[in-house]
Amino acid sequence: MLKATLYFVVKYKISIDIFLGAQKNQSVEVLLMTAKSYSYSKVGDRLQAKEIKDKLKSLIEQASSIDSNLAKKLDEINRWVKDIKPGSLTAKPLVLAFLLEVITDAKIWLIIQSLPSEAEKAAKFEQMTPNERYWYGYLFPKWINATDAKFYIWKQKLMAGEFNQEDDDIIKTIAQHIASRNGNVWQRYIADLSMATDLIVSNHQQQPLCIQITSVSEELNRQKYQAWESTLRSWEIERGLFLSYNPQNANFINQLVNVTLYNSDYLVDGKYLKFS
Amino acid sequence: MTNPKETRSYNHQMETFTEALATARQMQQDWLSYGLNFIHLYVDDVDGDWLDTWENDEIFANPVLDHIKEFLVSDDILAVRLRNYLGERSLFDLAVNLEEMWRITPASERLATVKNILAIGETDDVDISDLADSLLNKLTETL
Repeated sequence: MLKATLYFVVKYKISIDIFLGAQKNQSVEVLLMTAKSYSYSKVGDRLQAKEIKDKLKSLIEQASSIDSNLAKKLDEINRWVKDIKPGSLTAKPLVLAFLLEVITDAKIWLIIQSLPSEAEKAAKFEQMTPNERYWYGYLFPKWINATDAKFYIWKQKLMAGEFNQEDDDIIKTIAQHIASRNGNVWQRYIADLSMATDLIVSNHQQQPLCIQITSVSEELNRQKYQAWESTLRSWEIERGLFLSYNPQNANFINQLVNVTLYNSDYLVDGKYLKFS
Repeated sequence: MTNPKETRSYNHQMETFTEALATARQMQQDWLSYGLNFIHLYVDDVDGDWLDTWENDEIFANPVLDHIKEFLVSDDILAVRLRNYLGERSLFDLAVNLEEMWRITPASERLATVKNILAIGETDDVDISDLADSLLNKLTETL
């Protein structure tokens, strides 16, 4: 009963909470916490897919006065989504995951960019992990400002259903193993689609490393490796690791994780290493 | 694969830097647990008709720009020439610039403006003149 009352109260007038708290001799914090955790767990809190478009629109407006390149990019995305004709079952979840990620990242970027001084901006980057700092401080702004030649290819990729659930599961499994061994992972759909990067990984030395994981056969592999290296260079990603695996090998996940963690610490700049 | 049973609120936690970063981290953690299926935690109607009904809003709707964009990515021989010429430069930026030119520039100055838009350094290049001329003719025909 109390929960129901609180939900109503929170929904309409938070100040009544304080009144209730005073009446029942409960601290305001406790009441607010209960109300907060309650409202967070109710099913209705999930977004409706259509709300994402509203969020995108309001970000475009916000960005237009802070970072016009970002506004342009978001506007481009808005138009681009309109033309997607889903050709596979995974297209919708993938487009939504991509949109929610872009909206979140754009929001973080705009909050930082609105800060009045460089020192305040730097302080925000200090709160980030090395991978986050590499992403929000280096690669994401590059993406905002770049003329992304691959952008038009994305739509085709999504429509053709090139997203591969099996690869996604392997990337996720590798990421889980890295995390369980106290390495850090950062996964971004923008990095995947534009920068040939499945994961950004850092280990003891806190040096983010871009890795690409692939299962293609040897002949195709060589071509893919060259395209990967040139993509990384074009984004001024200083080093990278290209992992190809043989699913027949029972131990391949462990091998890839070992190679990744080691190279994250020790691969020198200017090296684009292939491991197969 | 089954979808996650929990749900996450996206709305309430995006106002401050700390909240926004926490949201990004939570989403990352959820991706780590569920892969692409994490999206069901945050969005109610992933498989609904939102994509089919995603329209341009009036504020951003711009048929001229849409038309130019469609042309630039088409199989038209001139569009192919333009893409070869542009290389890594953005087609979207070109489309935006051309739309602006079409809206603002007086007819007598359009050719010079298109040349400027296309040029990287020097504007006297014969190729650019020819390309600009063909492009302007094409736009005049179709817009």
